[in-house]
Formats: sequence, structure tokens, C-alpha cells
Amino acid sequence: MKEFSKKMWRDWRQNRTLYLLVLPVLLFYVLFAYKPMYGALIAFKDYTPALGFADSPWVGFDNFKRFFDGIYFGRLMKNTILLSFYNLIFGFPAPVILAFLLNEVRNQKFKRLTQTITYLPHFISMIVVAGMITNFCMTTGVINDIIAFFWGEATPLLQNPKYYRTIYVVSSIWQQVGWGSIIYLSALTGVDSQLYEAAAIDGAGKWKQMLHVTLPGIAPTIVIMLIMKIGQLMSMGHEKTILLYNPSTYETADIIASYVYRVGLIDQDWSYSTVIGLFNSVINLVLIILANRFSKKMTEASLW
Amino acid sequence: MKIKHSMAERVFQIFNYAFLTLLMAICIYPIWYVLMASVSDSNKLMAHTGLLLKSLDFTLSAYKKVFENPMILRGYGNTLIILVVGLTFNMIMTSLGAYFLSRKNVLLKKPIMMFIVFTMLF
Repeated sequence: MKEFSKKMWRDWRQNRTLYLLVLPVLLFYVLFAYKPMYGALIAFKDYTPALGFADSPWVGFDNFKRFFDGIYFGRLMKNTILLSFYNLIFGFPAPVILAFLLNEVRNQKFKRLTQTITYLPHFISMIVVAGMITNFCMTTGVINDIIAFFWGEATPLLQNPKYYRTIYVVSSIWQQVGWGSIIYLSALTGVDSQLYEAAAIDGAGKWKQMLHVTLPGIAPTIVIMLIMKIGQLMSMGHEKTILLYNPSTYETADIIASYVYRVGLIDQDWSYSTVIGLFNSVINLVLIILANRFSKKMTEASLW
Repeated sequence: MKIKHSMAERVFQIFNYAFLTLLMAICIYPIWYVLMASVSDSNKLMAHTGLLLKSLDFTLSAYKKVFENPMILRGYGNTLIILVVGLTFNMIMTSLGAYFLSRKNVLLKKPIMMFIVFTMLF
């Protein structure tokens, strides 16, 4: 114990100014992150604004039970997991592939033009994107024109729960593919061109070169990006879902975040919606810990 | 040195250019659509179906409406204030925090890192 306090004292004398610098940051976190967390206590209460925060009666785990036994629990879990899973397996490789393809383009002007144009969707706000999607998916929209041309029948795509996930994932890819490819392109420029020459002399074709030179060259970048993606797998934003879904597609579209929004802000069942939010946080915590551990093993890069 | 390209290589290049051109078209069409819709006559736009490649009855009335609405100007003002104040605050906080966390031989570095990471979950 004495040893420890001695160490503390020495550390304090050495790093006094550093601690002084970090103090405002800590204060910020206490005020804006830790103080509001106290409000999460209403998950264990039957909160009504009339009684106020302190006087609302404690109900223990009743709200949790209500959520886990509720009819929507299975559907919400399934939708959230499936949607983020599809988003990961289709959305993650897309920018990598685009970067590979762009890397093969020899005409620099064409390459720059493609890059600039594929960045564009990233800069459009979500509201406008959702408006476009709704517009294009109507029976009179462009996508239905194409469907009608090839298969002969136009359907209101956003009304059909079957198509919801596809629309969500494809539009996400459309939004992010160009922007996401930037980091891989910059990693690709770091691959030594001598390696390609050596591989070519050894008789490796384009495909073999990609497999044995390019891919290992940018593997660390891919792994780090993947881990970051996995860490936020369950924290799918409510924004896009709320803008795109409607009661006829709740079956596949309703995710935890949008359900929290509906229950908490529209039905004003605050305790219940806090429970769901907390539940989601716990899953995220587990995912981040797992991703971090994985990352430590694979790349020796970790958050803590 | 001029490298001679094989047949397979040339086929790949053609497909690559074709695919990227298609991708460009997909990325630019929605933006073009919004642009053209914004300068179109609203009644005609409602009745219109399918591809929209040029404006229908070019008119700037929608833009006039937007700029005459005081709420939009106020909205932009608020956005600007939040952006400037928020960014300044954000930059100060993140650089202070990052500088601290980048130092070695600080005893409380790990606990403070945990303290910050923990809040990312809520």
C-alpha cells in the first residue's frame, strides 16, 4: 500500500500538468455522459412525469420481463441481427472491391472522375436520400420501370416486407461505397510496385497478383475496418429505418432502435423504452469487448 | 518499357470500365433527378413517371419559395452557430484528451481510457 501511494506521488509530481490538461475532458464526460446515465434508473421504475423522477415507484425487473416476454422481442432481435448482418456481409466487401477495380484503371482522368462521382451520395443528407428511395420505389418510379421492362410487373416496393432488407442494404451500399473505398485506395498506394513486377516476372497473372500481392498488402487495413464495423454491429441507427418503414413492413423493418423511438417518444412509455435501450447497450458492450480482444490477437492494435 | 497486354487483361479492362461507368451512372442519376425536379413545374412533376432527364417546364419558383421562407434562413443560422461552437469545443476536448492518452508512463492512463470508452456504449 505504501509502495503504491509512493508511486502515485511520484506520478503526480511528474505528470501534474498532463493531468491538469485532461481535467476538462473528464469534466466534460462526467457532465454530458455520466450524469445523464443516472436517468437510466427509470428502467427499474414505473416512471410517470406527474410523480417525478425520485417518487416514481420501484418495480424491479418488471419492465425487463415485459420486454423479454413481449410479442415483439423475437421479431426485433431477428430484424436487428439480420439487417446488420446483411449490411456487414454485403456492405463491407463493396468498398474493398471498388478500390481494387479503381486501382486497375490506368486512365487517371477516368479514375478521378469515378472517385468524385461515387463520393457524391455520401454528402446527401439522410432525409433527402430517404425521399429519393421512396420516390424511386413507387409504382411509377425508375426502379419499377426497369422491373416492368424486364419482368413485366410493377409493384410498390416499399410496401412489401419481402423487399425491405434488400432496399435498405443496397441503398446503404450506394451511399457509402465510394467514401468507404478512400481508405483502401490509400492503403493500396502503400503496396510496393516492385512486388507486382516481381510477381509478374514469376508469371503471376492479374488474378494471382491480386491474391498474393494486393490482398496481403492491405490486409491490416481490412482487419481493422472489419473490427470497427463489428463493434457497432448492433447500434444500427434509427434514422433511416424510421424514414423508410411503414406499418405494412414492420414485419421485417422494425429494429430495436426504431422500436425504442416508437415506444418511448410516441407511446410515451419511458421506462419500457429505457429498458430496451439498456438491453441494446449491453449487447454492444459485449460486441466491443469481443472485437477488441480479437483485434489484440490479430493485429496487436486495441482500444485498451 | 512497354508492357504487352494479354487478351484476358484487355477483356478485364473493358469490363472494368463498363462496370465503373455503370456505377457512376447509378451514383449521379439520383442527384441529377433531384436537381431537375427542383427546377420543374410541380404539377407536371407529380404526373411524370419514369426517368427524368431534363426539367419539365423550367421554373425557379421552388427556389423563390425557399428563399422567401424566414424559417430556412434561421435554420441555417442555427446550423452555423452549432457547427462553429461545437467544432471549437470538440477540437479542444479531443486534442486535450488525445494528447493525454498518447503520453507514455502515465499511471492513470488506462483507467481514464476505460472511463471514456465506457461512455461510447450509451
